[in-house]
Amino acid sequence: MGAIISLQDVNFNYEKTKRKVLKGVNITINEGEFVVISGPTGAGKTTLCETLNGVIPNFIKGDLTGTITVDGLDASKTPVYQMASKIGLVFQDPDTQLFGMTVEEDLAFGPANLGLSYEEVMRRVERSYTDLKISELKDRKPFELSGGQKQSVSIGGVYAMLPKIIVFDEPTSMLDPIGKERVFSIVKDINKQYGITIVLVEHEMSEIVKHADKVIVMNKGQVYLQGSVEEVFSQVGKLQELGLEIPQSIELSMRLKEDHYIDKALLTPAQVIEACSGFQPKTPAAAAAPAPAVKQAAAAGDGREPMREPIIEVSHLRHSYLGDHDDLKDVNLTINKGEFVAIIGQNGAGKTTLARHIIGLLKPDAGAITVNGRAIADRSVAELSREVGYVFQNPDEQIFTDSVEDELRFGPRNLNKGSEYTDGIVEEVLQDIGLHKYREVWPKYLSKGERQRLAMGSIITMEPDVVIVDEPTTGQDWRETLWIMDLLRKLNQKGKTIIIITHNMEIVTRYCNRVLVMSQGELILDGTPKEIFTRRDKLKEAYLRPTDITYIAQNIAFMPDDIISVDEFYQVFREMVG
Amino acid sequence: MLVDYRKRDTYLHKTSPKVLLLGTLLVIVASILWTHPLYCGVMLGLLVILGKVAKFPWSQIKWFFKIIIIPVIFIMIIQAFSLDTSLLHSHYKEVILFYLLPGERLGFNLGGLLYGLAASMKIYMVVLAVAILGYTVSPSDFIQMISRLRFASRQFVFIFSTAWRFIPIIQKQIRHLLDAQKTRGMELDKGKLIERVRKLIPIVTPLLSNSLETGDQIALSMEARAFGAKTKNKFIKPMQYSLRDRLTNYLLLVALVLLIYAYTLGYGVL
Repeated sequence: MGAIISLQDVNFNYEKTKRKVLKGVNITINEGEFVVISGPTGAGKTTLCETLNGVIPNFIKGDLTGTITVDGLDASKTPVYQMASKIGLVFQDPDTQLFGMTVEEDLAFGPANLGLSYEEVMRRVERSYTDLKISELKDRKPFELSGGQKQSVSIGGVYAMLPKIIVFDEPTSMLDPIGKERVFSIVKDINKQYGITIVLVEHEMSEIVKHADKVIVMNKGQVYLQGSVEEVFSQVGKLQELGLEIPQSIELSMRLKEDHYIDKALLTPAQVIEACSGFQPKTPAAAAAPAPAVKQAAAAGDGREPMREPIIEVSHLRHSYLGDHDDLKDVNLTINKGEFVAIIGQNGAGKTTLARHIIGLLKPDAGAITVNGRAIADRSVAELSREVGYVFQNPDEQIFTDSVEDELRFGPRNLNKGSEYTDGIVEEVLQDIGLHKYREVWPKYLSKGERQRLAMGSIITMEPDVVIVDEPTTGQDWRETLWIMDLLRKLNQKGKTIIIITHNMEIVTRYCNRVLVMSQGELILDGTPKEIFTRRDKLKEAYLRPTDITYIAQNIAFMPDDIISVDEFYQVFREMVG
Repeated sequence: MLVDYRKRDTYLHKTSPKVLLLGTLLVIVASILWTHPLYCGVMLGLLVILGKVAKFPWSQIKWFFKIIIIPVIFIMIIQAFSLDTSLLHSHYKEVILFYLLPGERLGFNLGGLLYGLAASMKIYMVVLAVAILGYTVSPSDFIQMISRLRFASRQFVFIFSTAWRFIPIIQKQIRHLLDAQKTRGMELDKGKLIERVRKLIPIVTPLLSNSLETGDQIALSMEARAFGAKTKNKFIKPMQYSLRDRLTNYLLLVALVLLIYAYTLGYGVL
């Protein structure tokens, strides 16, 4: 199949700015290919997507040079509505892509805009239902759907316009693991079964490796690497330089290859399992013996045991939002000072509901919560904020002042901390969050990762004993993810109790010393990451999967079930196999 | 809408939205013309029966009726004491139940009381009629009806439906912003009224900027789906309008005409 997208020497800077967001970009994509575009935040990935369907420069103004040809049309000169029947674009936030009062109306929106008859529009709508397997959503209201369902409907709406190409700009960054799986499954199907060319911008590399024909890595507006998945991921050093996540299966296989256990780098967990399963342990006794004691890599915190002194006690907590069922069912738990806790579970499991009870934003229907030994029932949220801080998932719902510095001062001022004290803590936190150069900057000018750090900083200046962070890494690239988590680790090392709500299992294993698993309003598991990830039955019940490295270990007969890092796997593997 | 639409299998849900809209219009016209509590009571009774047929969720509207009970009683009392009874035609205007002040001053007039009662019932009539309409007609059918109006361009219809859809999103954003301020030590429920209002000002900026960003993103998504490509939209969903609906519509039109004619003859008037 020939080229369907061609970019030749494309340069772009936004209106009234001089900085080139795209520099000398040359890319060719063949019809039917599944191409992934990755790169750190600010690399130009979204800008590139927006040039492909003519949104840049027809809708978003700027200085665009070079040639962009999409299915024979010059994208920079063709009206966007004309491009829309050739190339569709699916964005991150499903809420801004749903236009109908029902799913059916939403799927019909695009074709209706093309002036097609009612019969033709409905024919395309039916095709979307069938091909994307979303018929069960037919009569539902779009805004009542889950994130994954909404995004599926958005994809259906674009698909109904019968484009040859669909571009996805981080379509799963706001979704839980089930939502991500649903979307990736649809994307894979429309490529493999229906031949639609896919261009997907994504940070989640472990999913990419399973499906992509080609990977393009961008950095600072330029194409940094491009090639097949094997070609790109074999350059681990360069990817790490950019701060990109290396899938655990690839990281492991590179190490196995370096030490000549395998001939070539492998990409997927399934391939690694097959290769490693071909090895035999040194002696049958070695296989039967318990795994050698291993140094747990990147131990949570600094390896200190947290104190066994309760700071939060939850007793028989029950809550129902609508009165028809319990959203929290008899939850009991104790969190000790200095712990670094992860609360995991699918969307709707009760994680955020539990957290909001602890900070007083919700009042229980039954049960009690104490913080530092005192009941919180009669205390206001503001009063409780002296002891428990809460960082919201969306930093834009938390920050509102005119400058970074003002934002950090807001909390201590409300708590009447005194100006000398506030000056000191604000200076310290500005350095910790790496925003000291931006103290006078309007927060909206910061990147999303920087705004997330600012939101965290605004809570840290209040010096609570406990910091709860809701989804600290959603939508962040890997470098920013590690930055944020390292900041939380530093706080933990200073004695703060940290609680994170997250879907990212890898950061759970890297940073947390305790994991709470919630499912349907109940706390179903409570233990260390090692203890939790061996409980496959319970994890399945909660619609969770362990990290790829744990999954790989659990599917190799002679490897222990509780491996949680690549270092650990490799050390054990070498001990076993020699 | 006071009560959200729910898809149900009732007689009213299966009736064409055009008929239900005409029925609501009839109730509104009656509420403007009628001043007699007996007529209003009968209409209210009919609406209650229709609500039962539609399996209306009465518990969801109870709060509203409770809130307006005090103003309603107030209206009745004020009318009883102060209504210009020359406006009334019935003999009730002659009946004074008691005087509030000595010397036969400030009389509690039965005609005024009944007039006030009718006025209160009319509030309930209109609210109930509109609530039942909202419960039995889906928002998309409303939009479809509006899109059939000659003055309604596709843009107008789109703005209307988008605004409807985004109200819950904006409400959620406001709640989150207020929650975020509380977690930053802001006591929103304490202090004088003016202080509490001042504390709300900080959420205006992020709400506006978030809304503008959302609007921007929606515009981008619309553009990417070819909105505005064609000025004439041929995609108009056929609206349900059976023979039964047609006959009911004719009956309602006749009822409306009779209502107005009867009013001119003095029916419905106190």
